[in-house]
Amino acid sequence: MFSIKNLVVEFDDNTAVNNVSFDINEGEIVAIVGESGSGKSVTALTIAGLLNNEARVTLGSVLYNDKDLLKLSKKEMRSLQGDEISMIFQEPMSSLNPTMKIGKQMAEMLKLHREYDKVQVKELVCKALESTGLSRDNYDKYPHQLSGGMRQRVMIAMAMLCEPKLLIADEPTTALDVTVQEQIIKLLQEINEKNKTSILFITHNLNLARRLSDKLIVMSKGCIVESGNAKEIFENPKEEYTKKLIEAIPKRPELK
Amino acid sequence: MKYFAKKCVALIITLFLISVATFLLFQVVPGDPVLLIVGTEDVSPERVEQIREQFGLNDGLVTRYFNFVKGIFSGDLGTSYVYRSPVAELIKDKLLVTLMLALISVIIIVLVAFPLGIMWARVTNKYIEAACNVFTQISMSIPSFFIGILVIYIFSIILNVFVAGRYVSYDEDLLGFISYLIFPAIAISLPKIAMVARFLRNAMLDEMNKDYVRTAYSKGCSKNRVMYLHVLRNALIPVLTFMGVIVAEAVAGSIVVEQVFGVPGIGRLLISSISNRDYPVVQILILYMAAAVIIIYFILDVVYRIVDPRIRRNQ
Repeated sequence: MFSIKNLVVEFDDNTAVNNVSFDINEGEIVAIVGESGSGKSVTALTIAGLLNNEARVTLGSVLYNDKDLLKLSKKEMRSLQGDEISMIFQEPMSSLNPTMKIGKQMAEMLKLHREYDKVQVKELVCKALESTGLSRDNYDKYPHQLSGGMRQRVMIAMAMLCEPKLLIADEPTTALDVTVQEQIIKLLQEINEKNKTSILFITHNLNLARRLSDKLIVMSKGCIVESGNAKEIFENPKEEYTKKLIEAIPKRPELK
Repeated sequence: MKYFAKKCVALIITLFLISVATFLLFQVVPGDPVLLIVGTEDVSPERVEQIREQFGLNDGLVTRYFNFVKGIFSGDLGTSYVYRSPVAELIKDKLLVTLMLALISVIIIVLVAFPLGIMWARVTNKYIEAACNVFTQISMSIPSFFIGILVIYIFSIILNVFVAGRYVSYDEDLLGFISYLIFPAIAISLPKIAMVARFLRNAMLDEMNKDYVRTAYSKGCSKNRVMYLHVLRNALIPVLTFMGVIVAEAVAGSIVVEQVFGVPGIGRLLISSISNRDYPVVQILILYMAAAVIIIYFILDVVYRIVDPRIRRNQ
């Protein structure tokens, strides 16, 4: 469904993403793993159309149903953003507008892409909140009244409002504590199973990537080091870098 | 509500302390008020005693303070040494002029600075950016009396739209009064416009880099929508504080600009009262300015609560 081909993204004079190609099929969870600076976030932002002005895509294409997203006008891209492709971010604490009520921020998504009346919008937003395990009272709350985990749920609920084909999750659990992390991962899995939404999961946590993904892409210094079936890579890493990454996972010492 | 009550108590206490401070201050300043009142007149000791009695200078400190406060509540603000007329009457007209001047200035500032700041934050053309930069830099660095002279030169001498120095009183011609005040208001607001526009622009650019802006874009918001619906309100929070300072300053009267344009506001009255050592007038003016500043900050606090929901927490 999504096909990234020979993508090259440059900042000033350094190459952040170098010749990256991979596919995301319908209902698939693809995880990109790599250390910071490996180009995984930039890849995600390119697909989402959220690169800032300093970045230049010098080569390659992002095909979605055979349409090159990089060639779309800003307006055409906007109509896809949030509707077909949506994104959640690493920092749930700052990803929501602090001066706008949760409900209003979520409703904006529907206002931009759907034509519902006010009552329908409110109902849909409340349902979306409930589907992520939040109560509908949160509709009238401000972001600062919610915990980090709750805010990330709001982000997920908002991202899923228009039932996108692809959800890009850029380190969605990194800023959260472990128990909350677990709940968010479960939620993403549920969404993937229920709606057949493809998920592009960006993380530096190999364990999470293994648990969640169908396909695993290991990136380093802007290039893809290894990619393929997540289980196979874990059991039988071919590249030296991947081996090192897997070895770096702390193991529980054997009890005697 | 509890917050409001608390604030009001604080307001009253502050005003009380200021009134004590200003009252005491003028008790310790050297010089006998009677000498000021009689001036160069050669008077007999009986006459001096009579004046002392008349102005209540023979009473003890506490009694005099008490009378001072009692007077304020009953509308008797004391008697000017120099004009021999009630301070309240003296101030009433001038206060109205200053408040009108302040109102017009603030309206001009808001009407010009906000659109300018937003436009400046949005613009990508480097020449327009440079022009904004130069304009604000210059108008911030010119002293206000010189801006006043420039305004007179441009609008009065070259363009002939008003006659400098021919102040129109409000009870003569309200419209003429307002249109005369527009020009000193321009002189007052020009540097403030530059400051507010610059401040707003910087605040908006700061906000543009925040994570929630990226979220808004990821939802498919256009740049306009992001700017006006998301960024502006957040950028207004720091600008509000600044606006509070500007309003407070304007309400206290601009001494220099009033002087340049011949506007009989309280700024001018304050200057002449200080040089004449007309303490009852100075005392009341200081009390007024302090009260004005406190009340404006109090209003600002309420506005803050409306704009920034994070402050409303725990109320």
